[in-house]
Amino acid sequence: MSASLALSPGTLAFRHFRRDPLAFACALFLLMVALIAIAAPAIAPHDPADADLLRRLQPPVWMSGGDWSYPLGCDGLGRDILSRLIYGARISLGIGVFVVALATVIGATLGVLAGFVRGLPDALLSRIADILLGFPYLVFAIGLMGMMGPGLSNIIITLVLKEWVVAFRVARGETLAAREQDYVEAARAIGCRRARIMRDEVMPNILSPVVVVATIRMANVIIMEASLSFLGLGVQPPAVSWGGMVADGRDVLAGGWWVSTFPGLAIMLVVIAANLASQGLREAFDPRLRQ
Amino acid sequence: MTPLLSIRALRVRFPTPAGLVDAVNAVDLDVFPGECLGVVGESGSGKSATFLATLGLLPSATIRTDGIFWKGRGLDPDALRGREIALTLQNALTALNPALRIGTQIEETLAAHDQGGNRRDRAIALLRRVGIPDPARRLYAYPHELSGGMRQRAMIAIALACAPHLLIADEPTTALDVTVQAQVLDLLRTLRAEQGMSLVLITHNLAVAAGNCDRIAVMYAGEIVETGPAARVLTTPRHPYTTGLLRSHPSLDDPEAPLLPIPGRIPDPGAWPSGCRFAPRCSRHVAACEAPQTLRVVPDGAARCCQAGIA
Amino acid sequence: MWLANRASHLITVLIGTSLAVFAMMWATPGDPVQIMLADQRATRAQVAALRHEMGLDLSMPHRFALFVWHALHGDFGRSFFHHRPVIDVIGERLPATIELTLAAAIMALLIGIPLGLYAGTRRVRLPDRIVSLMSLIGVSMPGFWLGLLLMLVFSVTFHLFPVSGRMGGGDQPPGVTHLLVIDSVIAGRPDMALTALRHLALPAITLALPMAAVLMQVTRTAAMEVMPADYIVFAAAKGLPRRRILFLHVLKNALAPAVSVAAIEIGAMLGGNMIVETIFSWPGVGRLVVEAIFDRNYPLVQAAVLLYAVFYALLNFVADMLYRVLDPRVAA
Repeated sequence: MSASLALSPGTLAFRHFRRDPLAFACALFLLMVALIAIAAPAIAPHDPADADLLRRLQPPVWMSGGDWSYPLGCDGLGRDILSRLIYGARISLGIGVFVVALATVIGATLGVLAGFVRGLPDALLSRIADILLGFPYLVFAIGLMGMMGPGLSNIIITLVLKEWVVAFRVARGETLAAREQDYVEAARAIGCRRARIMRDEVMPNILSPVVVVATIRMANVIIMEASLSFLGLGVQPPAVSWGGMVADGRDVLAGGWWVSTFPGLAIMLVVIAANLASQGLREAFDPRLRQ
Repeated sequence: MTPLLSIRALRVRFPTPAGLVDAVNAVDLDVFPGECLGVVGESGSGKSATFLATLGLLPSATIRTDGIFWKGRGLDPDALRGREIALTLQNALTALNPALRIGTQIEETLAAHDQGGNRRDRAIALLRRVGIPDPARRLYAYPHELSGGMRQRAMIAIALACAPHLLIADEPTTALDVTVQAQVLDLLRTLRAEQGMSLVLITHNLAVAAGNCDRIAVMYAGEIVETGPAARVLTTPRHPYTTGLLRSHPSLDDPEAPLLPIPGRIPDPGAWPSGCRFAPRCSRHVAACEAPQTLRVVPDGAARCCQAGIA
Repeated sequence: MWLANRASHLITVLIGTSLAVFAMMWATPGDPVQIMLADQRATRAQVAALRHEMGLDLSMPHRFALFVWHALHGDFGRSFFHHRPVIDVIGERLPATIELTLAAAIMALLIGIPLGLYAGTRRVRLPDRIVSLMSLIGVSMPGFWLGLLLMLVFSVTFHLFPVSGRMGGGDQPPGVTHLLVIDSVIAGRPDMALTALRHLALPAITLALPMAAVLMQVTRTAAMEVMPADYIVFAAAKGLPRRRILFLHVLKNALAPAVSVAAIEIGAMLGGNMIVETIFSWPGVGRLVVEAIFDRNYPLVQAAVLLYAVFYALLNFVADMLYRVLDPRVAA
């Protein structure tokens, strides 16, 4: 069809993606959660840190003893679960997006460099990547966070340190393939400098696989942050994280199941949405994967 | 003489995203004991699908038939596969399981059909019979460790393991180079003579059919367009497609003669013409070709052409 | 020769890993010596003496060399908290973690691979979709949440399984393998074995689920790719029974990618252990590490991370070799 020749691969893929109802719905869901997170101060009914022991372990509205002003109940310190969920989205989703974005930029840049220039930079970077991959993910994260201490910046550093390797490998692999292509030869032949070729010829072409992989990784990063926060190695109070909320509920499991259940549910729904949306994106770019 | 295999009005359709597609239409075929039948046609003509459907190897297809008979009785594919009817495929590299040794793949066939005796020895004997040197060692080889020709022979050995009455060889020479092709065809000829086995040789290469077959059936667009003794079909074709095929092959008698390809292209399987399926490409196209054609009996065979029987 | 190649790669990674673990010490805020002496008032001389004893006054490369040398001899220093050699402390808790990880891995393999095979080889879409849904949930559910949910339902609400520990304070069988279930069976005490199993059940299921889900996906995809292959058609043409085709021809080819993934997932379990053991108060190395972190017991954390990394590297090496056995084409 001559019409499709005129569109860029990105636009074409986006059209396919739009026609996949499940993936598109998941992407919209994530967007909605992101908007809720951004608008937290305006949307959340209460201050997430507002503790009142009189409301301790108040059940959700549909159980006896619950009321509409605290629809999902309160935790062991009397804080509103719903508000904490809304504010928690900022951390859980925010870290997911930020870490993946940062790691992808760093990793892809280094990957293109390594794949294009080869030689010593490639050998060095690949070795470092292999070493970082040699650690099981959570072991590395817990170990490093344990050494560095908890906190927002430390989590970001730790997770980026593990995640850049993925983007690096994808970018490097794509660059190795791309540098054999004619358009690179042509650019070299007319005397373009290497940096220019890397930036203008190679990067635009490896963009789609790199972006697709990045979206796939988001789900994993969200779970990692939640796991670290669960263990107490994540962001510290008064910042709210869904993982931390689940940990809070652990002590009151018998008396207040809702304290752990809702944040855990939130994590699972967001991760499922991220998985399905990124899967849909991958299929949109690679028609062979569609079944 | 009762045919060994008898297919009547076979119709095979495949589900595709665009709907049901006719792969094989109204095929009548007989294979007689001891003969070699060549089934000739381009890819997409339905020649493989006909026999895969007969053997029950196309689970996703819709199959209609007036009857398929084996030795005069209804054919039960599950009972006959591998035992009385054997099949070989075009590419031996993909037809053999890459993760299993050749010996295993032979011996499991013997085991599946309850062949007594020492299976290992029988496997070695089979490999020797198809001309594979050092068969005892080759038993332990993986398919990718053998050359193309040896793989084909190994596949034939597996097919012959239980001494079938009929071997259906789907494009046995296509994936091989010319010298090896000749060897494999020789092998098939010898084995046939030894056992009195019938052979169906599916090929797109007229020359292969010419040198080896007693009878030839030509298929086009999912239908049989001509059958007859090999010598007759090759010298006096009754269907324009067969004529076209012969003309487009180089001839030893007149090497300088220009090759005349058949004009046009085989249509897409979803879009068969409603009348004679060859009509759009036929130089002898007349008004009667707009109607669907039936197989007409001609001297020495049959042809699906409204002008068959006319010189 | 590929073996030498892989072995040298392994060694490079191990060296690099130890360097990385060693470097982690840099990341700690605060002075290790001050942490050790946290509760006590110490004179400058005592501090200096301790520094010298811990080798903190040597140069970095020297310290690294010593670190590796000691590590190879199994000497990881003394635990701040337990006042015993780190290696002993870890060694005590190791069997508990081994038992848990082994049980989870076996469970995951026995559930994941057959279900994946089933889903990938059916003509009908429905079982396939169900399995895909199950595996999606399995990889998306945070392990710590699953553990708590299981605990909530089966321990707190229905009292079917205990909440914590390995034997719940009951008698333990004589230590042969130190894997309580096996030891109980060896000692001829089925009642003990049952108690041990009841304690093992929930933690093992929690740990096994993500791996089972991934194995399900991988096996399913691999089986779906194998099913239309020529050699499956040929195997059917030979007249082989359907069961043999499925469990030998399809499985052997679908297994190779599953093995590589299994190795990675077991590695992930090493981390997951830390969470599961914490939730269920399982007395293993994972929980020890988490406790050590909060106790600022750095030598122990460092040793554990290094041991985990070494084990993971060896695991991947073994998986690599196994892959070659399963797919002979790779060796060519």
